[in-house]
Amino acid sequence: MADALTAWIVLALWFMVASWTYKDNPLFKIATVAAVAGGAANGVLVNIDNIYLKALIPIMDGTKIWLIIPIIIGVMFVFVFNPRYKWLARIPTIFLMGISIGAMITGVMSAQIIGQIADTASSLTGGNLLNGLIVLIAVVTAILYFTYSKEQTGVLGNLTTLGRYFLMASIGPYWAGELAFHMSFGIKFVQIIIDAIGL
Amino acid sequence: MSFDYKRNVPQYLLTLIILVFLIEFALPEGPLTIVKNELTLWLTLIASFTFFIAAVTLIIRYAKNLTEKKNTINILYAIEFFVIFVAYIGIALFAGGISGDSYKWLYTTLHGNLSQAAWVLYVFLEPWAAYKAFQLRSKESIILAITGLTYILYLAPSIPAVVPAIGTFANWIVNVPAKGGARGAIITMGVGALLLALRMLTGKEKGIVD
Amino acid sequence: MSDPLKIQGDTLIEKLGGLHWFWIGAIILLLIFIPLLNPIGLPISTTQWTLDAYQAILDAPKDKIVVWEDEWSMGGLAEAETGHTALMRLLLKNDIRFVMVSLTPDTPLLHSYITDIVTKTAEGRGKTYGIDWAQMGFLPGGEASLPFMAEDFHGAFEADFYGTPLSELTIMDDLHGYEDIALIITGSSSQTWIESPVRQWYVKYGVEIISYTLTGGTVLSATYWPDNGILGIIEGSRGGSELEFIAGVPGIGVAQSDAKTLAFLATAAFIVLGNISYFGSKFKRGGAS
Repeated sequence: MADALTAWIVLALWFMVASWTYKDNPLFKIATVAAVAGGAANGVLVNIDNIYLKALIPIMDGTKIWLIIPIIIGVMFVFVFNPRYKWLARIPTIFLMGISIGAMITGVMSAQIIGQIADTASSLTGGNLLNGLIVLIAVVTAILYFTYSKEQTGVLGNLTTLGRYFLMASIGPYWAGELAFHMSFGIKFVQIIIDAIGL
Repeated sequence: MSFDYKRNVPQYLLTLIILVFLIEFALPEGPLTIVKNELTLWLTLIASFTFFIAAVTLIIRYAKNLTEKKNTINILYAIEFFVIFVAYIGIALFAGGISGDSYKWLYTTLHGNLSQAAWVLYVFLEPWAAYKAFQLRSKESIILAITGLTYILYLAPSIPAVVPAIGTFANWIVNVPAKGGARGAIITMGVGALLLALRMLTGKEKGIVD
Repeated sequence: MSDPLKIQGDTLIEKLGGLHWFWIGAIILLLIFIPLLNPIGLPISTTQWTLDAYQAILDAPKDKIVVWEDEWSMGGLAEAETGHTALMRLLLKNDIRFVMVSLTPDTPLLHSYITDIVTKTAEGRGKTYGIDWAQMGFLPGGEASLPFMAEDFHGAFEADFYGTPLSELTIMDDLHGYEDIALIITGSSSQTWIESPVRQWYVKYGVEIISYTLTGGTVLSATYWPDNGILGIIEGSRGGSELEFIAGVPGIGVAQSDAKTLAFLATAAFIVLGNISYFGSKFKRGGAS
């Protein structure tokens, strides 16, 4: 009985959202507000847990009192609501940005630049030489496509056009993947209808 | 050059933090490793506050709606928001926590299904967009259509089993031209990221501390 | 919305390219209905990168722990359910100890949902939480939090999702940092997330990775496969279906594959139809575009 009720509730929720295909309407807005409220509440609850376990307990038992500093920095976000002291909200943002960039940048050279160039070179020596050459041409012309310091005309123009074609070749599978991703929800929608009706 | 503490203090802080990571990367297992590890702990704590601020922003927005006298429907949406928000918090606090069965049922049934349902609209719009846009008007659209069409047939689990040529061609697309194009983009993004970090480090990137 | 009964175009050939999006979606949904009600049983093909992922999991050293870090959310459940259940069943079936980590606030509940399903399967029965697997909560910070896990796993979490201190979980006695990690399985409903774990886990700590990415994310993941950090790729629900087939853990993926096949064939047919209309109209107008 509970399962059947849940199935109908779920079906109703999906139809509330799908009703937008007819037109924007209050049912869709109710569904949107419910989703936003749930997401916000979950975000708060999960992060309270995080702060409590990693900072509040060590601060209260004296093992890591200095963790009061990141707590104070985090609280500084509230200054975003005060026009006079809004600049203070930059401090926690700077911490987030600086730490994220610091962590990212130390891996970029190896992973994204040297590693990729090395792989491109090694594809010429191992396996199919023709495919390796195509990959090399694709890499070079795609990089040239993103060069904006010189006008893309003449020989450079032809090379960047070729680079654009290779980039299109990589976008095709991306698009196909996005379509496949969304089709999964179509399949789920149909399954929900079947479960509710009891077919 | 005057010292504008509102801009200079955040900038110096940013430079210092990035330098800590760069120097630690060059000289690992030194004293800066402890600082770096501590900063990553601080990141997880400070990042939590972004979720609190997001919730506060929503609460303020919907609270303003409650005070609107002329717009009844917005008042109803605001009441709905607060009822659901408080219900989640209440169930988590008094009925077993976020790992409890009640909260899990509520979140999975309500939020889980609503956030999934939003994607069903794409089932209508995306194939239609492809039907309209994947017309072979130019060389770029021809390449996009061929690679896209091949890959969508490849993603259907059964088609490559029945027509192996599609599987072979799709594999070749992913491993050769698409890989090359994507690799070029990755290298460019990597160089761009390095340059952007350098600009942020030296304070040349306007808008970061504004 | 504009009137779905009104088909754009004057001639038949133009009308072929003037269908309203509502009908295209409706036809696709109707086609999905058929195999879900009456499965056709079409064969499933496998890809080299999924086979590589499967083999890499089997080859993971048994004295170490697999860390499954995940960015998939409940909003992506329809796409993720197949792969998540197949992966978890595969790990449990082969007695591979693993720890699940959430990188979004939503993910712990997704893991919980999947665990509830898998513990009722043949692979899940007889396995004990805390010994064979564990589920951590949410770790904020994105990419920058990955080194935190790598350097001090216990410090990164303190307790599991259920509030149990890590010191009370037997599996966590053997997981303190990157040296104890056999393999990273990195899941994300983003096609571009894969660069982050490669930059952190592989470049800095030498831990190899399996990319469990959104469908279509194979292109980006393939630039790091097989010798640049990524041992194998599981591509969304398609990869999940393959994994069910390869690992011998049949589930919803196998059942859905017929529906996917028809839906994608229909989409391809509409694209061809659009082009027939375009070229037909073009030739009818005497070649003017």
